[in-house]
Amino acid sequence: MSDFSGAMDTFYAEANDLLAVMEEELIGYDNSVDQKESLNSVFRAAHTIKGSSGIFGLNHIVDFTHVVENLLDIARDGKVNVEHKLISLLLKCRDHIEILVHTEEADFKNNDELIKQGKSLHQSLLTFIDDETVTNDVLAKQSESPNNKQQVKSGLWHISIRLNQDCLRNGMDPVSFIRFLSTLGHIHKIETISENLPDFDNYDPESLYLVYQLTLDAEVSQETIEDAFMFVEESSDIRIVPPNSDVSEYLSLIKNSPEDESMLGQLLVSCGAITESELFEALSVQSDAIENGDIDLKLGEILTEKNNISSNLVDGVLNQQKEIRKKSNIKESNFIRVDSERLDLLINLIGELVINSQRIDLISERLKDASLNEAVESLENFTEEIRDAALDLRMVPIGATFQRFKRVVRDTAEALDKDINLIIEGAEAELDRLMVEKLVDPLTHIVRNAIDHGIESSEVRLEKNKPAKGILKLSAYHEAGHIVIEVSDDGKGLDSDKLIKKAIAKGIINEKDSISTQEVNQLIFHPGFSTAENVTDLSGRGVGMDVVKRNVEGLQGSIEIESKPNKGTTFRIRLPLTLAIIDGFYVESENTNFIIPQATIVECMDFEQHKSIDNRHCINLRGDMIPFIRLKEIFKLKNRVKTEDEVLLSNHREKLVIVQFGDNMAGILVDELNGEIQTVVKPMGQIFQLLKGIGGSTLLGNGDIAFILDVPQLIEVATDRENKQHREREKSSER
Amino acid sequence: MYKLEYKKLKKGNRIKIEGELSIYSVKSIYEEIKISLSYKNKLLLDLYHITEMDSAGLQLILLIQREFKKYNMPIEIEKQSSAVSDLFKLFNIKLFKENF
Amino acid sequence: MQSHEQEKNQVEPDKRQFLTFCLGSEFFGLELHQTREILEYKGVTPVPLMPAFICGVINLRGEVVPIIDLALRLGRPAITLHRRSCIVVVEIEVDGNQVVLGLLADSVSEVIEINNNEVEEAPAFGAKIKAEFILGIAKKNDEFIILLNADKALSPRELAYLIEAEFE
Repeated sequence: MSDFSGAMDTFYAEANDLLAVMEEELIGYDNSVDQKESLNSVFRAAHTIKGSSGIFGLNHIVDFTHVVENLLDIARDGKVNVEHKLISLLLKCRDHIEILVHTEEADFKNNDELIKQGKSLHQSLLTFIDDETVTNDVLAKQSESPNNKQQVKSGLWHISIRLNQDCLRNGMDPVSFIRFLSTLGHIHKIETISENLPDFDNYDPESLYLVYQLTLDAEVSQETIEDAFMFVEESSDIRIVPPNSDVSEYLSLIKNSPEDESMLGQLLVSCGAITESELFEALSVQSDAIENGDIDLKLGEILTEKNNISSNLVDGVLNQQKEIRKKSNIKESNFIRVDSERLDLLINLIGELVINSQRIDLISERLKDASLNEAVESLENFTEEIRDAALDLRMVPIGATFQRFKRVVRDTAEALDKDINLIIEGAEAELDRLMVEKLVDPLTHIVRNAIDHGIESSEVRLEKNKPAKGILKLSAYHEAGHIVIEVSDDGKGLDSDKLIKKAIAKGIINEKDSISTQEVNQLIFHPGFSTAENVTDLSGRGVGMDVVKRNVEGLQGSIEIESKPNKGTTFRIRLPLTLAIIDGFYVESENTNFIIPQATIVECMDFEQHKSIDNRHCINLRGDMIPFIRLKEIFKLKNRVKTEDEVLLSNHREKLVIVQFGDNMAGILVDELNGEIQTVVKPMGQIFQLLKGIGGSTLLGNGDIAFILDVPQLIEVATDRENKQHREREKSSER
Repeated sequence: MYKLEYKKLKKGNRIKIEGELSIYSVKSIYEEIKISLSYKNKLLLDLYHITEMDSAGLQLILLIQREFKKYNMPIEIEKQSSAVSDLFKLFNIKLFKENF
Repeated sequence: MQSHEQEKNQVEPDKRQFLTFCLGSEFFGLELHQTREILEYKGVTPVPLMPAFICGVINLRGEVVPIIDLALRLGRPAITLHRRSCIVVVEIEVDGNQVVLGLLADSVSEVIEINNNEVEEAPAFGAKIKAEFILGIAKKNDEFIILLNADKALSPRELAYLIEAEFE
């Protein structure tokens, strides 16, 4: 039979969305303005997950979620005291549902651990209820509730199914619904109405034209039946009339059917909803009406008129229908889900296009044909626009990632018994989806670290005249082609003395070394460095901050720390917006091609020796002391390294590219400046991961390979080296 | 996948569909039938070798049936596989013969 | 591609195909399904700071592919480049990812089929190569062919360690 794969994808996507809603509402519950509504949202999410799982026959999810849902249901009726502990438990239940959603039912059955976990969660939930009858309600398969929709009714249900035309294409087959319904009870009667089928020539074989009217003999609640259709697409029309409904409800069903009424009429008669004579009377009125020229008067209307239905009732039915439609509209948005691999492929192809257009540019320059040059130039402009638009597709706001940290903060704070308020700023700042994924781990570590080591416990804070509640702030903003992400706390700040002592004890620095504050702070990124006196469960095992730094650098980014004693610490991560394609500046050194990312370049100039200071690797740029490096030295290019004297003697004047990253500036000395170029970043692969200063490679228009410089790393190298030399010089002058 | 055979016989034209009559194949099956379908003779449907059928497939059969009814030309299912009859049963589709 | 997969799927085929090539005076074999193509050596772009066994990188139809001097990697003297030098492009799978590498070779000889029973275990010593880099040794036309275990001998992780060692 037609499988559900398309619909399953929707199920997973939607389940994930709903789980996110649950998490957000639960975490925000304590501070929620409208706690009742928050609880309602959680309930609705759980309910929908349960319902859709039911459609796909994922009973392991249904069974577990059912109890959670029931508890939520009585909680929103105010029968359970919603205390902090319960919220924590509900969060755990939510996590359990998440695991279940991602576990195949067959695997679940063999996973005793998971089954046990589910049972114990159920048990814990029940401890929150003191009333025994309520307990039974929660455990009951179907809870009795005053809500009409949840009331179990037995008898003949009438269901009319008019699905969206595209449902077949999207992998949803009515067969599945009918089969599911038949598991609820006995399908007493089913009519497949095919009159909407268009002419043979206008027929679209992949669209659904069939409409189904059926009566189901079952002892269920309306909700259960509605749940079966939780996943129908928008603009589908599902109508459910419960057993023993007023005749008027059936008639309203007829009224709302665009199909030929007689067939529906017959069906309703055949299942005993209305009598033959009622139908006959209605039909004869209809034919009278037609004779009288009142063609528009439809059977439904006539019946409705005749039975004098109160408009209230009709409204009620209509509202019910609206509600179903509302549910299926959850999906309605202007977004389409695209497989990220397809997007990556597109971006790769555009990368090739960029390279090719550069090659054409090279050729056209050689040919010196004015009209060709013009055409090539406009081609290049468009290519650039396409590139930007394509990259834009992969941009996502960082907000969703930040949201995740609400949970991390809550859990960590709870585990460490700290009271923390999380503030999020700049959630709308965008960056490459690929970057986001790789950013979660380092950010998590920093956040945990800040809570563990940064923010003090309430008592200590009060002693220090700080508010009892600590503040952790996550913020993001764009700056010169980069995104800056800050994690700041108002905790105790880094203890420089302790850091230095420890670094000396660990042999990382020398006792005599004099180092700047920034350098002291950077110590915590040193492998094997941990300042926590008591190693806790969550952080402080001494593996971590160095990994964080490496992760960030792996993304061509940099990380810095700003810390003030008792005021707090700020971690500042700077990242490029994307890793795929960058604007670069093409330079050469000893016949090796390099690309300097454009965003880091401040200016280019001829290197004039007289500007360098006291033979140091430093120049005076309009009063600022700026360290510089010579690419051929750093990368030991080709021949032996020339001495300063040789450079002085050689006629060729080197070029200096001033780069900036964060607050740091440095100069890069090269042989040739070849101009701006768009580069498609080709990762260098695992083999070259230790190659400091080179972040990737790229292909030039002529097919040659160029290396993309990792400016932050280079600046670091330059600054380190300059500081070290400076210190050595000072030391020797002291002697 | 599927295989389609269209034969002109004395007792009528026969369409034999083998394999899958589902959303994955229904478009090409429809296109093929569209070219060869003639309403001047009785149509015999051999659905015995259908291994899979879904609503899209069912709908196509109903469409063909309706077209022939329009031209007052008989249509008959000669044989059907269980995949076909199961679906007919589920949706309460009457066998065509009864309609004529 | 498909035939490659089929080969992989067979648990222990009786016969395996190897591409044989020459490094100095020795013959080596790589499983055919791990080789992608053979290129004429037209120079490489050296990568700064790399140890000698990393010759550099080449542009292989838009892909930047590292080229390795296998002789050096296996502890033999470096290859001397000449007109017939070529590059064997190999494709190995590491943690589910395809990794493409080029191997410098003096010449490529032929594809041979070797029965499993013709393969002898690598001698504990004598081959002067770490045993794990070798699948075995086969004899064909009176020549010994060292059958390489590309996954091990060319593992990027292993190569990165070697580079790290050189740095320190």
